[in-house]
Amino acid sequence: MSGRRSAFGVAFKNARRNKKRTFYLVLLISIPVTVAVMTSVFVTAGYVSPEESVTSQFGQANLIIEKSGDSSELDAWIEATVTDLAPDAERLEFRADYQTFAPRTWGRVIDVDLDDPLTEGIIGLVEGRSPQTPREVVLTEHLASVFAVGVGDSVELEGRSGTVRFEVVGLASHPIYWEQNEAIITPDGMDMFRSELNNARLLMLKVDDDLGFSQGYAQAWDRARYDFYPGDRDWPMPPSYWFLPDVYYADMSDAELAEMDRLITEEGDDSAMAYMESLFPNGVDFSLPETYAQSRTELLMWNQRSFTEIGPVIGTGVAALILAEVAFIAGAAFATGTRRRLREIGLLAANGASTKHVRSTVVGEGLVIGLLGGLFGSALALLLVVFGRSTIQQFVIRRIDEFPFSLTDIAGPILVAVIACVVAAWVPARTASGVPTLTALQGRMPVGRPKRWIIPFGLGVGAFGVLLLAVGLAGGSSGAATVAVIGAILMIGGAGLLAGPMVAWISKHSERFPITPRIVLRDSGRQRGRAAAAVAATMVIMMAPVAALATIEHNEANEAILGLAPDRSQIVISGTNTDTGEKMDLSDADLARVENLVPVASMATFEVIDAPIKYPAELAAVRDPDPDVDWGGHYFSPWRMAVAGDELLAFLDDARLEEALERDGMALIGVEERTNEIEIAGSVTEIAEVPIAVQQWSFPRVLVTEETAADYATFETRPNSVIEIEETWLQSLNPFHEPARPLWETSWGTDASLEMSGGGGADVSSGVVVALVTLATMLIVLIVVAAITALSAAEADSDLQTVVAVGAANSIRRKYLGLQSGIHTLLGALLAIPLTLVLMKTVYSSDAITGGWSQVGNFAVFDATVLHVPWMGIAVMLVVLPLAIGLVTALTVRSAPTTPPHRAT
Amino acid sequence: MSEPILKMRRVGKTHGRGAQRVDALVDIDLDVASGEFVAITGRSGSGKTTLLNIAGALDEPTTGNVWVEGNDLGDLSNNDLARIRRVSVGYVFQQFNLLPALTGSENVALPLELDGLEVREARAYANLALEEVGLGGMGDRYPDQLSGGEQQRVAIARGLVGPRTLLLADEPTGALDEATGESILKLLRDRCELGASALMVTHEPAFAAWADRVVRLRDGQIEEISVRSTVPSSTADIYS
Repeated sequence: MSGRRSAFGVAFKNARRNKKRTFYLVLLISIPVTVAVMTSVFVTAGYVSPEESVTSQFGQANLIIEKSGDSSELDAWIEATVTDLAPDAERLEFRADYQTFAPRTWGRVIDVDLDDPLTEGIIGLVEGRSPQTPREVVLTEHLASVFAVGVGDSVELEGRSGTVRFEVVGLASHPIYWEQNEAIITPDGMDMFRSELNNARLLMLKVDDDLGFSQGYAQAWDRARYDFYPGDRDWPMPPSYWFLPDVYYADMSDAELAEMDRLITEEGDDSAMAYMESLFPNGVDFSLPETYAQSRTELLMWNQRSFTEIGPVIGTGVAALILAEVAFIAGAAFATGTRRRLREIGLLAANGASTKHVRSTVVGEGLVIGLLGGLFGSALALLLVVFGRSTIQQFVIRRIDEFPFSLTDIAGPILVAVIACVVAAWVPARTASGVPTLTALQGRMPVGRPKRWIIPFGLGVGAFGVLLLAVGLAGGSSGAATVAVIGAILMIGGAGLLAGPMVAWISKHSERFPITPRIVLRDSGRQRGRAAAAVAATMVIMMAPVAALATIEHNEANEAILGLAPDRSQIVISGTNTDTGEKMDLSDADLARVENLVPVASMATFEVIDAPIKYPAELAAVRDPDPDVDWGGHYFSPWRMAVAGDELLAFLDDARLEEALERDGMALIGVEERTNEIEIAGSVTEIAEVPIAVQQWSFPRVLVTEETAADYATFETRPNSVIEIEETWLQSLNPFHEPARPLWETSWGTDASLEMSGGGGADVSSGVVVALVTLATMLIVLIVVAAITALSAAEADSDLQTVVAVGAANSIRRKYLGLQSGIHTLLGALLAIPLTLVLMKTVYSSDAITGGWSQVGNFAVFDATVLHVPWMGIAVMLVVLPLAIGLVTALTVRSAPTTPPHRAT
Repeated sequence: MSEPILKMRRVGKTHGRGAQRVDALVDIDLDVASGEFVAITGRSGSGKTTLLNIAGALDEPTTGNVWVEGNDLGDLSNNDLARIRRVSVGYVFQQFNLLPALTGSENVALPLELDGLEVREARAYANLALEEVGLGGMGDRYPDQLSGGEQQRVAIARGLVGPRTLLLADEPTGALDEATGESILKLLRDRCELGASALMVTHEPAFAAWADRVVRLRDGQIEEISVRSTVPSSTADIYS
C-alpha cells in the first residue's frame, strides 16, 4: 500500500515537474469535459419529459375543453356527452383562435381565466393583472418580447374584422415552455376573434378512466358527427368517393358532383381524382365541425412511444463519444510520454520497483490529469452557463430559471474523464512495465506484432454493437435508446481496435515507399499505440461528416422524387393575397416591389396554363405499391404547364431544353435526361425530360412553345415569375441566411402579401453543406492532429535531427509531420467510412427512425430503408481532406533546425 | 597547390553570455588537403566535437569562415548546406544516431536516397558499404537488433557510403574492439588514399597515430600539430 502511495507520489511530482505537458493535457481533457457538461445542460434544458409535457397541458383541471369557432349546437352536444361520460370532472373551458402574430411567430389568442386555480401549471401571471375589459390583454413574456412591449403598452392583434388594439395589462409565462406565444383576453374580447374557418373542439382529460372516456367519446362523435355537417349533402359520403375528403364533398356543387359521378363511371377514379385536383388547386378555406378527445393516458403513451425520452440518453451518448475521443487522444499522449520516460522506468525497476509500482506511477499521472481536467472543464462550463444563460435560452425549449445543472451533469463527465485518462494511461503503463529492465534502461521499447486476436475481437465487438443498435432502435423506449447508444459506442470501439493492426500492416508494407513516407510509416508502426490512438481519434471525428453526407444523400434522393432541388436563392412568385384571403394575379407593380426589396440577379415572367397534367408512372406506383415495403403515403403534386418564352429560356439557360422544345414543342423539367410519358388534359404523350433544378412544388414542370400552347387555349392562364436573388459568397455559405426574408417580412400583413415559394434559410445547397462539413471536419481534425503532433513531435525530433545531419533539407520536419497527419487522417477516414455507413444503414433500416416506409414521387419511388452512399463526399474525404490536412500541418509547423543530433536509439 | 577540401580560418565558437560565456573554439586555422587524414585529440571539453560539427555544416561558427570543397559555408543557404552534408560530407556520430525505424541498410542508404538515388541502387551501395565494415548480410536488421559495436559500424558505413570527399568521424572506434577498430581506421586510410579527406576525433593516441597529422586542442585552441612521416599498416606498427 505504501509502495503504491509512493508511486502515486512520484506520479504527482512528475505532473508538477512537467508543468507544460501537464497543463497541456489538463487543457486537452478539460475542453471535452466542458462540452460534455454543456451538452448535458442543453439536453436537460431541451428536454421535457412526457409527464411534464402532459401535465403542462392539463394544469389542475382534469378536463379541458378548447373551442374554436362558434357552434352552440356542437357545444350542447359536447356538454351532454361529457356530463354523461365524466360527470365529476373538474373542467377548464376556454376558446382559442390560432394566429400568426408576426412573420414566423405562431400562437393563439385564448380567453382562459387566469384567476382560475385550475390554470396553475398551464400558464401563470408574472407581472400586472389579468384582463378585465374586452380591450385588455395579457401577453406571454416571449410574445411581449416579439412585439417589444411591456405592461402599459398597446398591441394590435388581427381580429375577425381587422386589427384590434389592446392594452397590455399583464405578462404571463408558461412554467416550462419559455417560447410560448399566447395572448389572453376576456371572453367578451374573444368574440372579436371567433373564426368560422376553424370549427373544432379539443377535449383533454385526465379522469380516472380517461382511456374509456376518450374511446366512448370518439364512438359517440362518430355516430353524431354527420348531424353537424351541412344538411344539403347525404352523409356519410358515398363509398365511390373514397378519395374525396369530406370537406371537398361538402363544398362541391350538385353539378360538380354529377360530373364527378360521370368521370368515375365512364373514365375511372384517376380522371375523377384529376378533376378533384382541378377543382381545389388551393384546398378550401373552411373546415367541417370537428371534436376530438385526447386523454392524458393516451398522450403519455404516445410521448413515450415517440422517443421523446431518449434526449438525455442521446446527450449522454454524445458526451460519452466526446470523452471516448479524449481517451484516444490522451492514450496517444500517455503512450508518447511513457516511451520518453522509459529510462526512468528502467531506473525505477533497477532500484527494486515492482511492475505494480511502475504501472502505478504512470496510471497515477493519468488519475491526476483526469481529475484536474475534469474539475477545470466543469468549472469552465459553470462559468459559461452563468454568463451565457440568455444566449443558451434561445436554443432550448425549457425555461432556464434556476441553476440548470444536476450533480450527475457535472460528476458524470468528471468521472468519465478520470476513467478515460486512467485507461489511457494504463495501456502504455502495462506495456512499459513489461519491458525488460535492461532494455528500458537503454530507452528501447521492443516492437511486438499486434496480437492476433485483436482483429477478430474488434470485428466481433463491432458486430455486437450493430446488433445492439438494431435491437435498441427497434425498441422505441428510453431503455432501448440506451441499448442503441451502447451499441453505437461498441461499434466505434470495435472499429477503433482495428486501427493498431491497420497501422502495423501499412508499416510492414512500406518497403517500396520513398524515404520520408517510409520513415513516417515505420515510426507509426514502431509507436503503434500512439499512432493507433491518433487514427482512432481521427476516425471518431470523421464519422460526423460521413453521417452528414449520407444524410444529405438520403434526403436528396428523397427530394429528387419530386425533382432536382434548386438553390435557395431561386424564388417562384405566383401572385399576391389580400388580407381577406383573396388571391390576385401577379402584376408589374408587384415585381417592381420585389426588385426594390431584394437584389435580383435574374428574373423571368411566364404564363402558366391551368391544364390538368398527370404522370402515369406516378399513378401506377400509387395504385400498385411494392408489397415488400411499408407504405409511407403519397401527395399528388399538381403539375403545371408554362409557355417557354425567351425570358424563361434565358433564365433556365439550358441548351438541352431549348433543343427539346424546338424539336417536340414541349419538354419536361425533371431529374434526368430521358424520354418520359405524361398525360395532358386526358391525352397521353411522350416527352423529352431534361434535368434542371427548379422549385419542386411551384415551378411548372411542362414547358411548351407558343405554338404548342395554342392547342391549350381553352385553359385559363396567369402570370408567374421566377427570380434568382443575388447572394454574396459569404451569404451563400451561411446556413441561416434567408435570401427571401425581406420579401415575406415586408409583404406580410399587407394588402398584397406575396405568394411565393423558396428562399428559406434551411435550403442551403448540398454543395455548400459538403463544403461546410468538410471545413468543419478539417478544423476539428486539425485540432486533434495539432494535439497529437505536438505530443509526438518531441519524439520524432531527435530522429529528424539525424536525418537533417546526414543531408536532408530542414523542411523534412514539415514534410514528415504533414505526411504523418495526412496518413492518420486517411486511415481514420478508411475506418470511419465503412463504420458510419453500417451505422447509418442500421439506423435507416429501423422503423423507429425512418418508419421504414417508401414514398412515391413524381419521378421515382423512394425507399427510406435504402442507404444512399455519398460517393462524391467519400472521395473528398479520402483524397482532399488528408491532402489538405497534411498540407496545412506542413505549412504550420516549423522546419527542423540544423543541430548536432542527440542519441536517437 | 590544390585547394584544401576543408579550410577553416579564425574560426571561433562561443556558447552563452556574460558569466555563462564559454569559448568552445578560439581562432582556429586548419586546412585538410585532399587525401589527408587528420586526427583531432584533446581532453574532454577542449572543443573537438564542436570543431567537427562546424566542419560538417551542423553548427555555425561565431566568428571566422569555413570552406568545404571551396564553398564558404557562411554564404550557403540551408538547402545548399543540406546538399553539402548529403553529398560531400560523411559524418560518423559518436552516438551512432541510427534511425530506429529503418533497417541497417536503409540507414546507410539514407543520404543517397535523400539525394534522389533510386531505392534499389541506393540499397546496393549501402550493402557494399556494410560489407566494407564487416556487416555483409546484416543489412536487414533494425538497430535494436544489433549490438553496440555493430550499430557503430552501420553508422560508419553511412558516413562512408557514396562519393564523399570529407569524412568526419567522432570517436568512430569508441564501441569497437581493437581489431575491428583497426579495420575501420584502415578503411578511412584507404579512402584517403583514394582522394578523400578525413578528420577524426579520438582520445586514443594509438588510433591518432593512423593520421597524417594530429591536431591537439586545448581550451578551444590548437595547442600542437604533429606530422607523421610514415603511415602504419597496423596499430602494432605504431607501438613497435
